[in-house]
Amino acid sequence: MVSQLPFFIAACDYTLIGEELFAASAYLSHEPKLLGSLKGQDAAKLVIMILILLGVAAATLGTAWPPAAKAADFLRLLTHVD
Amino acid sequence: MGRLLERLDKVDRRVIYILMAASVIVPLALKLDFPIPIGSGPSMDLYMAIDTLPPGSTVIISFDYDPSTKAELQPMAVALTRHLFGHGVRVIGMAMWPQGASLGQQAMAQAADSLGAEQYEDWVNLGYTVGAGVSLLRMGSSIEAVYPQDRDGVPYDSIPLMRNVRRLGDVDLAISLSAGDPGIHSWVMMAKDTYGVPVGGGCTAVSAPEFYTYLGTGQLVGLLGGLRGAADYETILRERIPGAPGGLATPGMAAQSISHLVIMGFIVIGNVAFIAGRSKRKGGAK
Amino acid sequence: MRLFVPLFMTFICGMIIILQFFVPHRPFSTLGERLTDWYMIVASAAIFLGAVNLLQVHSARIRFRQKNWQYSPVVIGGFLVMMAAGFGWGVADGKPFDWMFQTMVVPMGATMFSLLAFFVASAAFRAFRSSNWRATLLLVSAFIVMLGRVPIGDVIWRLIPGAAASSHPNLVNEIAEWIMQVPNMAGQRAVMIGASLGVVATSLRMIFGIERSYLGGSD
Repeated sequence: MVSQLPFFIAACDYTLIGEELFAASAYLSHEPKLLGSLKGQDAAKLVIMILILLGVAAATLGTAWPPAAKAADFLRLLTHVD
Repeated sequence: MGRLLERLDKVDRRVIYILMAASVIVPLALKLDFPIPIGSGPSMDLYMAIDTLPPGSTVIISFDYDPSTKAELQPMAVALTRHLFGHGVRVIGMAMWPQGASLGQQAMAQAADSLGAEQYEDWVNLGYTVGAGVSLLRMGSSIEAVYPQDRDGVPYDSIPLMRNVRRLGDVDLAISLSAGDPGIHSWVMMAKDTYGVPVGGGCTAVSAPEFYTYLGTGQLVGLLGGLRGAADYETILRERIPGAPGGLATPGMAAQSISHLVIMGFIVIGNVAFIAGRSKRKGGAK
Repeated sequence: MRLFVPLFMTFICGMIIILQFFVPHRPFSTLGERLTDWYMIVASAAIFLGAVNLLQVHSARIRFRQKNWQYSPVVIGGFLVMMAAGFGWGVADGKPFDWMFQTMVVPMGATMFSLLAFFVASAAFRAFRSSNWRATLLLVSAFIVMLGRVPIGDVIWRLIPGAAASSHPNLVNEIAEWIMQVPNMAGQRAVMIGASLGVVATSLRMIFGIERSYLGGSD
C-alpha cells in the first residue's frame, strides 16, 4: 500500500516501491512472462514520459507562442478522459 | 552523557506508551484549544463545491469506512451531512464497506433530526453494495439495478427522493469518505472519469498524500485529509453559518498537536542516541 | 478442456468489459450490464463462503484444541448472536442488532485501530533512523508536515517576534501544504503511473490466458 511507504523507508534499509516489486520478481526468477511484462511496462512508461515532456514544453512555450499552445491543446485532447 | 544516551536507547516501551497516552488524554481533559487557521486549500475547495450547489440538488455520500477509522471519518460525515441538509441539498447515502452503512445511518439520522430533514424526502440510506467499482459502473446505467431497495427494505420506486435519480449521472456531486480500497480511487475512475459526476473526498490522514494527484488534475473537487480536514470543515461551518454546532474533530486537534510533538521528541531522542552510538563505535574501531 | 473453458470465459468476459468502455452501444453495453450484475451476485455469494469458512476454521480450532482455542467459542458465539439478532429483528435503528453494533462492535473496532498510535510511537523511537541522506530528508519533511498539519505548528511559529504580524502568519502550514502539493504530488504521480501500468500488464496477461495463477495449481 502506497500509504505505508514512508514507514518502510524510514525503518528499513532497502525498500521496493511500486513497480519495483514486479521488476524484482522478474529479475530474480528470469521468467519470460514476467520479463516480457516488464519490457512492455517500460515501453509504456517511455511513451508516457515522452508525452509528459512534450506537453510540458508545449504548455510552457504556448504562453508566448500560439502554435505551441495549439500543440498543448491537442496533447490535452489526446490524454483527456471524459 | 554517553551513559544517559545509552539508557535512553534502551528505555522500556511501556514508558513510551504511557507518555503517548498522556499526550492524548491530558489535552482532551484540560479542553485545550488551538486556533485553526483556514485558508484556501482542499478543505475550503470542498466546502465551496457544496456551498455553490443550488438548493434541491442531489448528492451521494459513500461511507466507505469501518469503525477502525471512525475517529477520523465520522466527524467529517457529521459535518458534511449537516452542511448539506442546512443548504437544502438532498442526500443519498450508500456504502462500499459493510459497516459503513450503519455508520452512515448514524451520521445522517443525527443531522436530519437536528435540522428537520425527512427520510425518503430529503435523505435515504441505500445501504451496502458488495461490488465496489463494478457496482459504481452498473450504477452509471441504473442505480435501481444495484439497489432495488434501500437498507430498510423500502422498494426503489417507493422512495420519492429517487424518482428523478435513475443513474449516477443524475447526481450533482458524489462524496466518498474512504479509509482504503474500495473508495476514492473507484469513485474517481467510475463516477468522474466514466460518467462525468464531480467527486469530492474525505480520507484518513495516512492516505491523503496519494489523493493530491486527483486534486491537481481536477478529478477531485476537494478533499478533507484526516482529522485536520474534519476540523477545518467544522471551523469553516462555524465561521460561515451562524449557530452551527461544534463537532468532535476540533477538540481532537489539541490532542493531536501534543502527540505529534511527543512523537517528534521520540524521533529526535532516538536519532541522537543512534548517532552518538555510531560515533562511539567508529571512535572505538579507530 | 479443463483449462480451455475457464481461459475462454475469462477472455470473453474481459474483452466485453474493455470494449464496452470504447463502444457504448449495443450489444456491448447490454452484455456489460449483464456481466456486472452477475459479478455482484457472485461477490454476494462469496460472503456466504467467508462465513462458512470462518465457522469451519474456528470449529477445527476448538475440536483439535489448537493454540488460543479458547477465543474461538467467543467468535462463533458472537457471529451466531449477531446473525440471529439481524434476521430476527432486522437491522433498523434501535433494534438489538443496531444496539450491539453501536455499543460493542464500533468501540472495539475503534480501540483496536487506536493501538496503532502506541506502536507508531514505539517504532518512531526505535526504528526511524536517519541512517542515509534519503531517510534524513524524509524525516526533515515529516517533521515539517507533522507540525504544519496541526495548529501547534503555527502557534510555535507565531512565538517568534514579528512572525504573527508578517505576511505569512501561518508559514508552517503553508510550507507543509507546498510539500504536499509539489514534491509529494510528483512522487505520488510517478508511483501511481508505474503501479497502474503493472496492474494493466497483469490484467492483460490474465485476459489473454498467459497468467493462470488464479486458476490454482501450476500451468
